[in-house]
Amino acid sequence: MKKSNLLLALAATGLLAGLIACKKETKTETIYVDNTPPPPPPTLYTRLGGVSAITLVVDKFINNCATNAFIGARFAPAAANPDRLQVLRFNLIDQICAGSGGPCQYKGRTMVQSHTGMNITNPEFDTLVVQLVKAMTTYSVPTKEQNDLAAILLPMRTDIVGK
Amino acid sequence: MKRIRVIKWVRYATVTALLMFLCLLIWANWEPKTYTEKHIPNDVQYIQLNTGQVSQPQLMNELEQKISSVQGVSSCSYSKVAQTVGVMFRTSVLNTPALIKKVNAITGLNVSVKEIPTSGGCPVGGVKYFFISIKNALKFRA
Repeated sequence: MKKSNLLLALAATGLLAGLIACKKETKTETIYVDNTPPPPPPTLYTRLGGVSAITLVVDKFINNCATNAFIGARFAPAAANPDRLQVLRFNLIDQICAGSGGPCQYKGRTMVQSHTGMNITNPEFDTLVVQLVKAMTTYSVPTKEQNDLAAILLPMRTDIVGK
Repeated sequence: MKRIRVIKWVRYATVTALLMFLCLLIWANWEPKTYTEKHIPNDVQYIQLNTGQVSQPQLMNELEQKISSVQGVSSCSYSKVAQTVGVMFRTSVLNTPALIKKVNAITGLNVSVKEIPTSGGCPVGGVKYFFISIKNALKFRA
């Protein structure tokens, strides 16, 4: 009698172990099957907060440049004329939006065409970059996003300076 | 005879004006609005206001923050050197006299508009901006 009880207990334990093992196996299989590719990382446009956030930064950037003692004379006349302001503003928004992977399309002239004859110097360009950084800092754009945007815009220096 | 000639000229002038308007209307609506035009308001204006001396950096920041908080103001920057504050605002919400009134009320200053030349400067200039304002006025295509 005792022996049969022991056998029964052993059989029950075996069955339970088998069930657990089966369950574990099923679980492992589910994880193995679920191998869908990870979602693509968000674009810089998304990380910046979309076209509305870009507009806030651009408005602040134009304002910073127009009130700046060194480059203000270049920006203030364009900003003070509502039609010119609209073109400048929308071109800057489109350029940043399109460059960062957004749905906008830049329709303005090339940087070389736009800046030829203006004789923009390196210190002027540097001041402009500082104003852009200030504008981004005002709206708490994280450093990584600031650097990523700078990586898109800074190569334009060669098309803008000394033309 | 003279009257008939005048009527003829008036007719020609009217037809020509109508045709020109029709051409402008077609040109303005030739392309649909861009993504930015659809999503971002374009009724902004920029002015600079003489503020007088605001020496302490803390007060400068405070001034910028106070003016930025006015409804309709999209950006504000203070220039210590020029003692001016640049303000960009939406004309559908505010006009210049109303803005000055609000700025004076919240800052306790007595600001005045600084005259800025509207030609020269940045590479956006020329006669085509006249056509841009016409285009904006006539564009109804979404």
